Formats: sequence, C-alpha cells, structure tokens
Amino acid sequence: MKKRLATALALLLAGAFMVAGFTPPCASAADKPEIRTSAQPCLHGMPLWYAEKANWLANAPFTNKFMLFASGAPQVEALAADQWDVGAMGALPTMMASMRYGYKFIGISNDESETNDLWVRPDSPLLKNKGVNPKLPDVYGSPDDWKGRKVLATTVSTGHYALTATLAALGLKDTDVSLVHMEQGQAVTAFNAGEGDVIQLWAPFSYIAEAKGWKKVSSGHKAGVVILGGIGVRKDFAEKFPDLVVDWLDVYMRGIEMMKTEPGKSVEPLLNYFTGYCGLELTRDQVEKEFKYRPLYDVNEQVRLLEDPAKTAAWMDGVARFMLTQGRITAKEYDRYVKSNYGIDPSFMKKLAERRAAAK
Amino acid sequence: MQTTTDDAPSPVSLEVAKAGYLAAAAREHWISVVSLILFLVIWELICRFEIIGPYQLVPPSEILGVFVDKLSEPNPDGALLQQHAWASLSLALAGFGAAVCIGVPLGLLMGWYKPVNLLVRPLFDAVRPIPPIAWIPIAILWLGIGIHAKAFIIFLAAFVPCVINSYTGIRLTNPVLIRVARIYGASNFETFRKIGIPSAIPMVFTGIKLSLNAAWTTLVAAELLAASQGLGYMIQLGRRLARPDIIIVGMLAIGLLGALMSWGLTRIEARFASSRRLS
Amino acid sequence: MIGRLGKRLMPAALTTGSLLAFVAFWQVVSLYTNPDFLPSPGRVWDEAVRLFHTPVGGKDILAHVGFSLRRVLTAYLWATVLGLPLGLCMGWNRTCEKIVSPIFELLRPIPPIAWIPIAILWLGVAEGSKVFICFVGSFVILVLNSYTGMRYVDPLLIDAARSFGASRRQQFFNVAVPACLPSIFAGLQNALSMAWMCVLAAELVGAREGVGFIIIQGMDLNRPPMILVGMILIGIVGSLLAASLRWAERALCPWRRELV
Repeated sequence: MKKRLATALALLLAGAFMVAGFTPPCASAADKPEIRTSAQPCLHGMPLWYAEKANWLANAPFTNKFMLFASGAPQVEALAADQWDVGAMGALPTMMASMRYGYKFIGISNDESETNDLWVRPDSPLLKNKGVNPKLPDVYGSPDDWKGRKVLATTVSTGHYALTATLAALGLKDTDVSLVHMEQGQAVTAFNAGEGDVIQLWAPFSYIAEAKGWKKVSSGHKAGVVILGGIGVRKDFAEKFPDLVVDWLDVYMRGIEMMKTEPGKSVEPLLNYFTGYCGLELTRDQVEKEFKYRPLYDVNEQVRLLEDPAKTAAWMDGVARFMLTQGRITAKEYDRYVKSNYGIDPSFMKKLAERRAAAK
Repeated sequence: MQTTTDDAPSPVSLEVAKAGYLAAAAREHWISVVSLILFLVIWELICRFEIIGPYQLVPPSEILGVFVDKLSEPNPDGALLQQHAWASLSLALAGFGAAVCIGVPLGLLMGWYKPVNLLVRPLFDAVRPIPPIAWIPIAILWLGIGIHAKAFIIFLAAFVPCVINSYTGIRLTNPVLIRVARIYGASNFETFRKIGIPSAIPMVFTGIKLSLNAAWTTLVAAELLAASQGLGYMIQLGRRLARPDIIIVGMLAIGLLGALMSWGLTRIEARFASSRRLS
Repeated sequence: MIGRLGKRLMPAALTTGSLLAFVAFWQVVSLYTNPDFLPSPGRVWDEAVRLFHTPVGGKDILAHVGFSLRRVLTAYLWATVLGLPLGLCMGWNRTCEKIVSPIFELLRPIPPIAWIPIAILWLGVAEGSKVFICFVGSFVILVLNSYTGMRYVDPLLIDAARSFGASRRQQFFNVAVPACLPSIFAGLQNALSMAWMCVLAAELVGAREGVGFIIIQGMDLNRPPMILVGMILIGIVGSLLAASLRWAERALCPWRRELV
C-alpha cells in the first residue's frame, strides 16, 4: 500500500519537474540589457519590429523583445504586471495607464483622429441624415437614428473615445446606444455575419471594412476631437534607465521618420508586418492609405507639441473629460490626472533632440 | 461546473457531506466566526497599508459601500447591478430551462429504448468532449452576439449532465422491479413510466443541479467575450477600467446568485423527490 | 479466445462506428448550409492538414497545444499539492475544518471563470493569470472531493485500526487515506477536465498562444474551418487527458476495478 502511495508521489514529483523543465529558457544575449517593447497590429507598432529586421539594433545599447497585443486594454494590464517597458498605444489606454500606474507619455506615435472610425452597412438608416450638428457636417445620422443601435466596439480604447465623441456631438451618451464589447477582429467577423448596427474600428481594420463596402459614418476627426497615439514608458523603468529610454526612442523615431519622409519605401515593410507577423489579411493599396490618413511628427515637431499646453495636454484633457462625463472615471481620478500634467514627460524627447543636434 | 463522467464523485454524497458539515459548523461555529473575521481583517489591513495597490485590490469595507452604491449608480459600467444580474439570470434560466426540458426526457428515453440510444449516441459522444466554452466563437458566427448564441452555449453546457445523469439513473433501475411489473402485465411504456422514471428521479435531480452549475459558469465565460449587459460584462469592464472594486462586487454577485439558485434547487428537490417516494 | 477478443474490441468498434455516423451526419448537414457557416468535414480536414504545416501566430499547432498543456499541468500540480492535503486535513481534523471552511464556503460558489478579470488585474495577461484560473478551478474540486472522501471513511475501519493499537498517524496514513482514494481519484479526474476548460476560457479572453488562441484567431480571420479544427483538437486533447488519468488510477488502485 505504502509502496503504491510512494509511487504516486514519485510520479507527481517527476511530473512537476517535467513541467518545470518545460519552461523555455530565457534568452540572454551578450551583456546588453533587454528592453521589452509592446506594440499593436498598427502602424505605430512597426518601428521596433522593422528595426530588428533591418538590423538597426546592431549598434544600439540594448536588445529588443517584441510583444504584440490585440488592443490597448490588455496592453495596460500587462503593464500593470510589469511585463513590458516601452511601447506605443492609443490615447485612451495611455491615459488609463498614466492615471493608474504612473505611466509616462513621452512621445506622439501619430495623429489617429481619422483612423479611429465608425462604420455601418450600406443599407443602414443612419446614412439618411448628415450633419445634424451644423458644427460637425461630416457626422451621419440624427440622434434618433443613433438611439438604441447596437454598436460593436472595443471598450476603453481610443476607438471608444471616437464613438463617445460622435455620440456627444449629437447630444447622446454611451448609455443611449447598446454597446457590445468585442475585440476588433472578432467584431469584424460578427458584423460581417450580420450582427450589430454600427461597428467601431481602427486602421488597419477600417480598410477591411472599406473593402467590404461598409460606409464610414464618423471618425474622431469628423466628430471634432484630436486623438493621439502615445509612446510611453513604464514608470520604474523610466526612473531606473532614463538613458536607455532615450536610446530606444532614437530607434523608434527613426522608424517613424522613415515612414514620414519615405512613405513609398515603407509600404513593403508595413505590409509584411501586418500580414506576416500580425496575421492580418490586407492588400498593398490598403496599407498605402495608412500614410495618407495618419500625420506623423519628427523629433523637433514632437518636442514642440509635447511642451505646448494648448496641444498635447489639451488633447489629452479632452480624452479625460469625455471619460469623466461618461462616468467611466471619477472626478477624483480626473483631478489627479490633471495634476500630473496628463502623464506627459517631454524630457526624453528633448534629450533625443539635443543628442541629435550635438551629433550633427 | 463539474462535468459528470461515469465515475464522477456521487454528488449525492457531496450534498450529504455539506449538510453534515453545516450541522457540525453550527456546533462549534465560534471558531469559524473568528476565522472569517480574521480573514476580513487581514484583507482590510493588506489594503490599508497598501501592500497591494489600490488598483489591484480594495478593502472589504469599501466593497460593501460599492455594492450598495451599485444598486443605484450605473457608472462606470453603464447599468445598475440588478440590471446586470437580471440580464444574466434570465439568460442562464432560458438556456438551462431548454436543456432540462430536452435533456432529461432524451436521457431517459436513451436509457430505456435501445433504438433511441443508437440514434442519438454518436452525435452525443462526438460533441461531449468539447467543452462548451470552445463553442463560443463558432456560436457567435452562427447565431450572433445576442441572446441566441449565449442561450445556445448555456444549453450545450447544461444539456450534457442532464442527459448523462438521466441515462445512468434509468439504467440503474432495479431489474427485479422491472420484472415484477412485467409479470403483472405492464406494457413496456407503462413500466418505463411507473417504474423506470420514478426510480431515476434522484439521479435526474443530481444531473439538473450539475447542469445549473455548468450553465452559470458558461454564461460568465460567454459574457466575457461579447456582451452589452450582464454580470460577466460588468466584471470585464471593471477589468478594462482597472476597477477591482467593480470586479469583486461582480464576482460576489455571481457567487451569491449561483449559491442561491443551487439552494433553491435543493429545496425543490427535497420537496419533489420526497413526495415521489411516498406515492 | 475470439470471444474475449471480440468483447474487448466491441467498445472500440462502437465508438468508431458512432464517430463515423457523426461525420456522415455532419457531411449531410453541411451540404445544405452555407459553407461559411458550417464547413464540410473535408474542408476541416484540409484546414487541419494546412495548420499542421503552417504556423499560427508564429508557432505551429503542436506548440500551441504544448503551451496550453503546460499551463494546465502546472496549475493542476499546484492544486494537487495544496488542495489534497488541505481537503484531507479538513476531513480529519475538526479544528482545521472550522478554520478553513467559512473562507472556503465564501469563495467556492464563484465560478473559476469569474476570476479571470481580477486574475488579469493581479497577474497581468501572461502565464500567471492563466495558471491561476486553472488552479482555482481544480483546487476547489480537489478540496471538496478529498474532504468528502475523508468524512465518509467508514468509522468502523478507523475503530478497528485503533483497537489493534494503531497510532493516530497510522490510522490516518494506513487506513483513512487509502479508504478515500476512490473519492480522491474521482476528484483528480474532474479537476483535470475543469482545468482544461479553464485554460480555454482564459486563452479566449487574452492570449497569443494556446489552443484557445487558435479558435480566436480563426474568428479574427473569419475562417470557420480553423475554429472547428481548434475545437476538435481541444476535444481530443481533453479526452486524452481524461484517459491517461483513468489509466493511472487503474495502475495505482487496482481494487477499484471490482467496484466499477
């Protein structure tokens, strides 16, 4: 009897060791510290991925570990668990991360006001009315058209902000529509199968919608808000390794500036990133649109935008105030966020600008 | 929650055990009270001294406040607690009801009539090893994100234990009883109705209880993936807004409702099954 | 000899037959529905072959199964190591039961899947939270089963051991624990299938690898055959897990065979 129990115990232990042995060994490259970069299947996720491919990192003082997330919310959760150091995500997740975990907003990946948009099927009644709010002539639908519609949206995302802004432009609130939370790819599939009345998307998913013949009824830009994509860094990491952050930013900005100055040359890598790495199915002309709709900023423009209280700070305040009026965050949280200057920290971008100026 | 396999722990004994330990608990309950209070105090202290951050855990005292607030405050997730609870409850009961109405008779028929068994068995055996949760994506594709898809998933989850337990229950009918009925000239259908079904009742009830559990668990999973209301949606939104208080209130509500439904079913069983035994 | 062999092969033949019947049924239904909704078995087979050769999200399909299995087994081992002794203790020792049961009863009715959001908030979206969910699921079942098993050990057995002069320790290890092994094994079975379901749920809500990811990716790409391949894979692995435990049980407590 005892023998059997002993055997069982031994088996258990053996199993435990097997499982432990299963754990993949951590890759430790020669001496260089590792920076964990988080990204999304989006234009602003590409720079570090491309840097690895194009061998830009050979002279950089760090190695990169690339991590892909479906959208901003899981990215923020991973941040809370200290699973990545630097990365790019939309305005709303950036705000949440700063508010909750002291995340630093150190740069603008792009202006994605136009690429966060809302779509309907071509037979939707929403298309009958346009410009009900005279200040925003490009928004489709009257308040009555919108009321009670089923909207597929990725909640607490930058796209959600565009949706909320659109509703607010018509004097409505989130609660006036039936908001169904889904991740982007799943929402496209469900919408395609006939679910929901409106779908909230962001590029590159919007291009899939366009290809399917769906109609754009609004976007962040059309609803009169500026939506930034934020580059940011985890608080502890920024405090411990400020120089590494600047080194990382250097590589990242090189990617952004390449896309800004030579969009033609950048189509191929971006297409590879989307189809080969992220598993999306896009065509070349869809990817070309990425560069048309998304204003990008180089280092010097960034410094100006980050330091100007009427620009970045005001835009982020818009995001926060929307969340406040929608009841998603409390007044106390809002006040604390404003006091922390919206988590904006231009020092890294400034250092990079100085470093580049000195190198010249 | 538990999927029945043929050698699952007899849930009857689980229930008996629970009754036993509740009775014992009444006798020496002061130890339990102290332990529970200690648990809450430690939880409270962990939060008060910020050993775990305020965006990770909130103290029980605050939970209580949020719980009360949520009854009249729709923010930040867009609906009141009771609205969420009602949305979940009505869905769970719809799927569960359908599963019981179809699953129990099916299981009984499969156990009694060979041809039915041969006809249904392959379908059933092929579908059974796939957990109901794995059906969610395909159900969304087939039936959308509304009530139908979720009811379908819950139905799948609740259906299996209903069928298995009714089947086993009727297969375990004492053969002596059947033979006695036959000797007295009862037809096959009569024997099924008067001997088979009554003797399967305890097992059927166990199956129903397991199915309720499975239904409730699966509902939460379905709501995590796509929903606009419901307790699962509420905790999911709490997650995305990093609001542990909302999540914990939602979890407690889920637990409470689940426990309440099991309790209700046990009461029904006690009444129904005992009157059956008398007749 | 032939008779015995026939008896052995009979269940296998029945299973195969019923599976074939199912596939035939599926084929017939798929003929009359939109292939986007229900792909035919042939298309699913092609997709399965394709998936075995091309990686999904950067990893091949067996690696995905490996990821899920690792999560499940890690959680399962922790749950066994912590849950079984706890349950046995609660069944054996009154004070232990009094201390643990109120907390346990408070948390027990919460389905493990409802823990997902808070687990993600605590442990992030990486391995930790998924393992935790599986752990919660199997832990509760293991505690409950070993506890009930222990409570329902025939007191006569214990009394007999005591009258033969067995020490308290001997009563526990040589009489009580073996007597509740069947109940423990039933718990081990259920806990494993629970853990398998939980890992799936956790992967559906957020993962870049694992079997749950395969079906979510199938949905993202609007590719129903891929979803079905994932589901079938999940079913097969789940059945294999259950079968291996049944085998272990037969090897470890042969006296159970008479009872079944």
